[in-house]
Amino acid sequence: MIPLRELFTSVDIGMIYGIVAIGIYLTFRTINFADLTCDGSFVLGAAVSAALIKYGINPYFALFVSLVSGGIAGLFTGILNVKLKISDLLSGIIIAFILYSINLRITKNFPNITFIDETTTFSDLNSTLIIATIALPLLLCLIRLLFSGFGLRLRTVGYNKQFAPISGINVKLMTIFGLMLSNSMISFGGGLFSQYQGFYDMSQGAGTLVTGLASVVIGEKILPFKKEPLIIFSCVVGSILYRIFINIALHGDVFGIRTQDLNLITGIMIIAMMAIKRRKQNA
Amino acid sequence: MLKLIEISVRDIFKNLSLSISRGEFVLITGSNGVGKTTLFNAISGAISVKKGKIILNDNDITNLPQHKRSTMISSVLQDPRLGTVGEMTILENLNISYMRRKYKRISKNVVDYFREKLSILGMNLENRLNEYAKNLSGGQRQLLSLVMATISDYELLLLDEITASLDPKTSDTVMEMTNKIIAQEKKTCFLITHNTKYINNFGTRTLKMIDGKLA
Repeated sequence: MIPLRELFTSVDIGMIYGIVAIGIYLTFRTINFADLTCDGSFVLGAAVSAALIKYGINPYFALFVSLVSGGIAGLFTGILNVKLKISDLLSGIIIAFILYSINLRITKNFPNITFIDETTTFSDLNSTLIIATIALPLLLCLIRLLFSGFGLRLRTVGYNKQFAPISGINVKLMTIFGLMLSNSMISFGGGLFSQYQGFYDMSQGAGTLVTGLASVVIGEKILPFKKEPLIIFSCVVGSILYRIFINIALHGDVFGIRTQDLNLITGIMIIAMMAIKRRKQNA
Repeated sequence: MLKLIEISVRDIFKNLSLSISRGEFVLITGSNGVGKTTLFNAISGAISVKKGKIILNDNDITNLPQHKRSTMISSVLQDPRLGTVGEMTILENLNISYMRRKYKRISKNVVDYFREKLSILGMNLENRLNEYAKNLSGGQRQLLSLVMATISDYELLLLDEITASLDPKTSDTVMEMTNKIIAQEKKTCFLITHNTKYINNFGTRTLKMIDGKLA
């Protein structure tokens, strides 16, 4: 059995990574852009947040700056793709590569920073409550945005790039907006995650893309939403479930499962969940 | 009025000139590979012209990007799957086209206007606004595409072989509906087709394209 406290931790981290998953959903699904900037922009958000907290800046303001910094990273990926005609995959890889050095600059070459004596967003109140209070309005704003005229145009770019320009949509500009929006969310998630963990580490971004994509896929399979803006909710639910799977896998010692089997067990559980859902759909 | 002044696109056509008066319905015909669709793309802005000028109602649109030209030029593409967004509802598809010129709020009156436009087709699409476009047949999707092209104000309507991917019966329906809508709108229209059957029945003028030249 998973202790209740650990279950809450899974929900907390799941909600934070849910924000990241939304960012990944916005590029991979909404604007149909395979963006690999995320591994860098997640750490960028964490680095910015850590550096500002170390300077004694308000942790909420630090999160806001993380959000903006991610937007700037997305802007550069967009410029590489749209203006210099570099492919989507390569644009993201180049920016993530550059961000490695920039993140080190931001943290004054410290590969990790702890917030032991510093005030973070999670210093005083219940962490689950804080994350929910931050994530929910963010989610609702994003859903509202995707249901708006702007969101409709953004989605059109992802679905049909030939139709978009004949409908007066500037595909290049919308792609840049999409990347900025997506990386803002990812970077914000990175900032929130580092504050939640109480430390920053420059390797925190490893596997962000895989985790985010897994959350998106689980969410899409589990929840019945068909309208795209509502699928945003599925990303968060998928992320929470993904974290719970990891927790279950970590507590599998009664079956002889060890810590190093984590990825194997998590993977099998995800496959099982998707297979069950597919069988239900076919029945 | 649309004026093409000695436009050249790659090696497909050189120094091509054409003048279409306001309200004219011109048919461009010709066999495959002569440059009909290239001409369509050059006018719509999907490809840029190497030299020459494109003038629409006294405005030089030669260097205008496609998304900006679309505020004046409405296009219906050959493949209905490309001219609509299958993953969006009929209402959302109409919304996108309605906002072609500028962002507008979709009020109840606007939805009623959509219904009125769709009712011309006589396919009950006005009562299926929340259905996904991918659930419609090819013919229905092409007609939806036509309504979408004419739902917002425009100066020139470009139709690129709109019946190419449809069966003969559906093609006739689409062409009849097209003619009906064009007659109502009284706007300049440019239809590309290689179907000789429609040449005598539709349009005010027919031009034949042979090896990148109009005759």
